[in-house]
Amino acid sequence: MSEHDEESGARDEAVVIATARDVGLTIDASCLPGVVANRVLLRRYAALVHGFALPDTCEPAFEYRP
Amino acid sequence: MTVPDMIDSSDALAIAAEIRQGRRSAVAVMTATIAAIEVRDRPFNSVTRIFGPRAVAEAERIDRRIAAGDDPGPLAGVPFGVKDLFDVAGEVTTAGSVVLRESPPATHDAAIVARLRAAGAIPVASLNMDEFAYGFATDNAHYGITRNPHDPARLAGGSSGGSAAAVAAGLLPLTLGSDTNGSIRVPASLCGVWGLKPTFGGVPREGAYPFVASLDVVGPFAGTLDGLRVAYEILAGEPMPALPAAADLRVARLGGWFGANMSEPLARAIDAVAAHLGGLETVELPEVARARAASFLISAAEGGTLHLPRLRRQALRYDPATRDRLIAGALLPSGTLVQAHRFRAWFREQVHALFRSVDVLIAPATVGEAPLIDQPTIVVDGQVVSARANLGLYTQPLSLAGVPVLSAPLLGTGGLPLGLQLIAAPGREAALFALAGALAGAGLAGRVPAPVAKER
Repeated sequence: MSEHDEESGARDEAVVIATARDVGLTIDASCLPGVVANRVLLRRYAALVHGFALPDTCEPAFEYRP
Repeated sequence: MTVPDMIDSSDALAIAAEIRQGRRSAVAVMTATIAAIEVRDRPFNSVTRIFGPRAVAEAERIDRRIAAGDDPGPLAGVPFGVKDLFDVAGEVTTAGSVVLRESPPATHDAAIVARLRAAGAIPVASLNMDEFAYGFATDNAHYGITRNPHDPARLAGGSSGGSAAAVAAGLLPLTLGSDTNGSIRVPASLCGVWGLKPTFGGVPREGAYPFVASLDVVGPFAGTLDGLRVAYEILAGEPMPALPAAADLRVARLGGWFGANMSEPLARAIDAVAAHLGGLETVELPEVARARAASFLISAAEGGTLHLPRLRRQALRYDPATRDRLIAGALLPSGTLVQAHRFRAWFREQVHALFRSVDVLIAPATVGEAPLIDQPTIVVDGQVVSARANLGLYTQPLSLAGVPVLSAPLLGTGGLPLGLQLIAAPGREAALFALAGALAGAGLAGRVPAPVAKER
């Protein structure tokens, strides 16, 4: 692992710990690597969804009817 | 040991006919089913609990009704299994977790369990699943892994893996599962059985332990297409309209995302289906990668938020794989979830536009045959990726749209089972059954007997 990777990993863990604290969750150290790995995956998916321009009139499908 | 001598144990309607016509007692069928599970499920681990005494007692009631001249219903005495997230009155619903194991027993049957019971069917077993339905492998830290009856070194798929494997092994003719991102279609495909994800909202979910309220759908697996159809009509609470003539259906093949990355045997099998249907036009849905991403994100956020109160108190009791996904989902920014739901509204319009000129779309259910249990990766778009996480490559985008999808087991593939998704516009399940019937009639689709079933 490079120095950059280590820094990035530590930063991801710090973000996870801080975000979890915001919702009243304390993350056991044994869970951190798995949570960080899943967060990295979800960020990639989030980038895809945020990368698509939608019209302002497009409403969220909270009450979805197919 | 087999269910009844000379009856196909994968055929719910044949079993019901034998019982209704008095050629076989419901008790004899039930005791043989329980014995078969006890003896033959060990290599597969599809069943987590057998409801033995109560199932036999229910079978006795069916026999008494028949003796009295009553009609117990179209599925009289048919044994069925439930993914362990459906309430069965008097039993604890674990949702595949030890976290809920100390919960009180359910006071009522889940709505669809009650509907099957009212039609004469009898719940006999709960079936293995990924914890809280969050996975594609049915590899459960608490209840073990469910192995594929066609090759126990391979995955059965998930999250309703026990439901598919029990039918594939010939243990049960009918089972219930749930599908959020592909959890009926993926295991049905890998195990070579019929499965249906009905239209989102079309079959009641009451009494099914939730995962992702925006995507969860409940539905059946069956060993025969007719069994699947009858079960679906009972679950939906009403008969389908008359099936259209298959020849009148406008069928097209989904290309683009759905035409890439599949195995050669699967591509050949789908080519054969297309050729039989007269050569099919290939059509594409736009922005499929983003649709899959949106489905992923909605699942993570809603699932994570659902479990957050318990994760605060007892995270370490969860299956580690599930726990880490749920926690990451619970931490997603709200803006990402809202954007995913906005994208869903947009994607819905694209799907409806496609169905203005097509009645049924066909697409692969998985990229290929069941992965080996110890096979960690596959190649997708030239990248080495997790085999398990990508079992839903072709199912997740369609989950976002909420359309009905029938998973048809392909015949003549020359190897392990492979499945085909038949996809229709919302509420058009009848078109799916019409096309599936035509493919079955042509010898292109049908339950693939597992080696153990052939030996019986």
